[in-house]
Amino acid sequence: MDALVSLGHGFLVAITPVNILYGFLGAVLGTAIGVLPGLGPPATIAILLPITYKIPAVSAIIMLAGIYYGAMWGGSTTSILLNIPGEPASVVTCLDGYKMARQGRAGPALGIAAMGSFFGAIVSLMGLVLIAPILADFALKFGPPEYFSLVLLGLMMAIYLTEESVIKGLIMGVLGLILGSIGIDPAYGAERFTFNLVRLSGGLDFVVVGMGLFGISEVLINLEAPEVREVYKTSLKKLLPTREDWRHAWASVVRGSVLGSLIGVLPGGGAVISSFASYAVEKRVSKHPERFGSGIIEGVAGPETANNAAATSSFIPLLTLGIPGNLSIAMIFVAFMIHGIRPGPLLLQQHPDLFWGVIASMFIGNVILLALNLPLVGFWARLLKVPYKYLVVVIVVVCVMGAYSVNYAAFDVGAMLFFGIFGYFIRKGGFPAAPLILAMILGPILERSLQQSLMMSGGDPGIFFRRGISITLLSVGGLLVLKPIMLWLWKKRRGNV
Amino acid sequence: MAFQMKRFNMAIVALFFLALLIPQSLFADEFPSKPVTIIVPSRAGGGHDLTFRAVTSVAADYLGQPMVVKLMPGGRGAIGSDYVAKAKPDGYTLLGGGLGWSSATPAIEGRSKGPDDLVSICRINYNSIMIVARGDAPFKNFKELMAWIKANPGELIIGTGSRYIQDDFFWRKMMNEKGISVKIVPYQGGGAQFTAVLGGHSDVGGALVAMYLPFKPTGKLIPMLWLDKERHPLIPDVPTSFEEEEGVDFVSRMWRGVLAPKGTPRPIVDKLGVVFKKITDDTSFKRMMKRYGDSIDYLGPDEFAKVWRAEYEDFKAFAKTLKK
Repeated sequence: MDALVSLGHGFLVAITPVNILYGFLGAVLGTAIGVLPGLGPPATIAILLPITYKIPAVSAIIMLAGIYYGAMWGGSTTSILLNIPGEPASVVTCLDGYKMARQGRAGPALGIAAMGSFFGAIVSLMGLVLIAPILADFALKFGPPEYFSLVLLGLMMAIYLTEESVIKGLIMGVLGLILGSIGIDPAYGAERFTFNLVRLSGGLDFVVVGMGLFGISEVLINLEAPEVREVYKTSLKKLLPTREDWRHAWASVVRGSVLGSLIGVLPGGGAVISSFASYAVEKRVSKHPERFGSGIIEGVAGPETANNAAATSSFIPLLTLGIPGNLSIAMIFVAFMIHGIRPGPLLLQQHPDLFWGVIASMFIGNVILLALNLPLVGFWARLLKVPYKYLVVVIVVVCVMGAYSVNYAAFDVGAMLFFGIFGYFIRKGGFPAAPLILAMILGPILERSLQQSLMMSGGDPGIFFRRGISITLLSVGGLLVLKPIMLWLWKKRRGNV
Repeated sequence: MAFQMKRFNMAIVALFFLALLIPQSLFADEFPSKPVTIIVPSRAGGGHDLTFRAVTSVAADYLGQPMVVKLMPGGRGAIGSDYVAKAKPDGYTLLGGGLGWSSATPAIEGRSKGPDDLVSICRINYNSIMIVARGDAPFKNFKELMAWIKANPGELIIGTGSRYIQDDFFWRKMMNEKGISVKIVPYQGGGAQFTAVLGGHSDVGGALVAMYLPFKPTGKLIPMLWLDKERHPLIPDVPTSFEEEEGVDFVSRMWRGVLAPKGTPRPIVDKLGVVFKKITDDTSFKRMMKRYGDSIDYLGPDEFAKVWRAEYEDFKAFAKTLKK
């Protein structure tokens, strides 16, 4: 109850006209950069940071936080409309979201993404208000062995990202692992697959690879067969999800909220992993898993809810432990420090106004975002009425600008085009692109945590089986692998009887 | 009239050639005529990022032009360092230099760029690091820790933020000189390493004073050792590495300095040196550094060049002992 009283006090801080203005500014800006691929929230916050030196700490943090969670709202837009993942957490949204758009259901896809985002953020915020210390302790329990087991389980999700052949999915997964190992190895500093190019020693950016594999390859495929665009001429009247859509999606939204809130507190890629995990869970529990990837609403609702819930809960380690879990949160950490405030266990005692003010502003900001995004759905959906021969120019320009803005390097534009052509050929062969991206993101974490775990144990792999969380995660993974074999054995025995 | 016109034209042509003849150094008076960029080759929210955000927040007052931070992380500092080394040596592209990518990595691994490829403008500040243990560790001070290491060789798990710098270098020196046996686990930066001690995944790790202080009342961390010559005023009870008999005399100074591409004209180097001196004397900058828990310790272009070179040679000597 204390927490709710304090939150009430926080609303008094957040509801001042100046702070509402800053929150609004952040949310609008966040949506805009979320829609544009490439220039992500960390870069935007970095650019705006100097402006916040002169304004009060509360207002500064409210605005910068708004940019971060606002971007999670906008991220789904290009995934759904153009098959370009605006940021890594929206890669899975391409799978069903874009298919929905091609069936003339861009409106419901965008609508469910917005409403799911809102629901996920609110659930996660309630967690932040009521059980932040518990969630922070949960995050601390994850050492290298726990990360290894979690990521190993995560890699198995590659199977759920495939539409037809599991073997082809696994091949792409392995390719992703190899691409993810480009650069300097985390333990000994050896260079791998860099061909003496300094540019490659930092590894390939998966935003660049993603835009190529999804966006550019889509353009190439469509140029080959322009007649398939007919589907866009279907009615756009139904802009928002129908009652029927909600009947399918509500459970996905609830599951996505919980999953996102939990995984989001883990430092390092929480939002990305949560969106993939949510998709895998939805496909797993679904009565019709074979329809995933064909444009069904659960495939959009789950991941889009989860990534917003995760973005919100990633504030927990920052506010309670002073640990920034990802790049955007690290930039917000810098803003705290510039204002002479060190986030951490003493933040709540020393700066209650700031702590609760920022949390309250996130409630307000999400309401603003919902009010802002729902009317935009119609506008975005109408964009698809533009003839494809014009749209294709926009897509290519957006992709090129996006790739360039990641590191301001022409190299990345070349890499994106390369992966675009590569993507064209793998799609011709029926190979799915999503497992490659997933493995590319998870590979480095897997490798690093494996090395760290084995260094901790002196080379004994038993470390993964002696720790509670780790063994639980491994058991779940083991059961998933063994289930088909057991089912097969069981059927065979019944057949013999 | 036509004659006058011709004379006028000739005067212009003459002026143009005269301008070409003026030595480049004279243009230092006009430097800077556009914003100066500092490439920080490390992650957002790290010590370098924080320091240069503080620098740039007051820089315009002394430089006459804005100074902007551009983060270029990757390859443990090599990407940004190489970028600056190749940049035009005109003073508009500078590097936020550091112990790791400007000394240790080039000396030990031959990657990134050291004093052979870059020139020194100045050192701005430095901070040492403290050794901390997890709250429920079976040792309560450095003596007990050393006794425990000797009683349990190869058992202690030490987390460090990066190879060869700060506390990592201290422990490798300890292993070399004191013959102790421990497990050193490298993490992806100071923050991740600190989280691992808090969660009890490492027995011992490193912490900046400002990172440790909020946890002091929680008892989740035990302070062990301060890696510097003098005790730190905010943690007066923590002994230095020089006081403890079991330790090696070791100063872990993570410095932050400004470096420029080789070939930057001397007048520009001097001018920037003076500007950064004024920045480090600025009261608002001093206040920010104090909040971070860092010591401002300005060294000018020539003084710092010597210190940097000596440190680089030290690392080179250390690299030879590694290869044995």
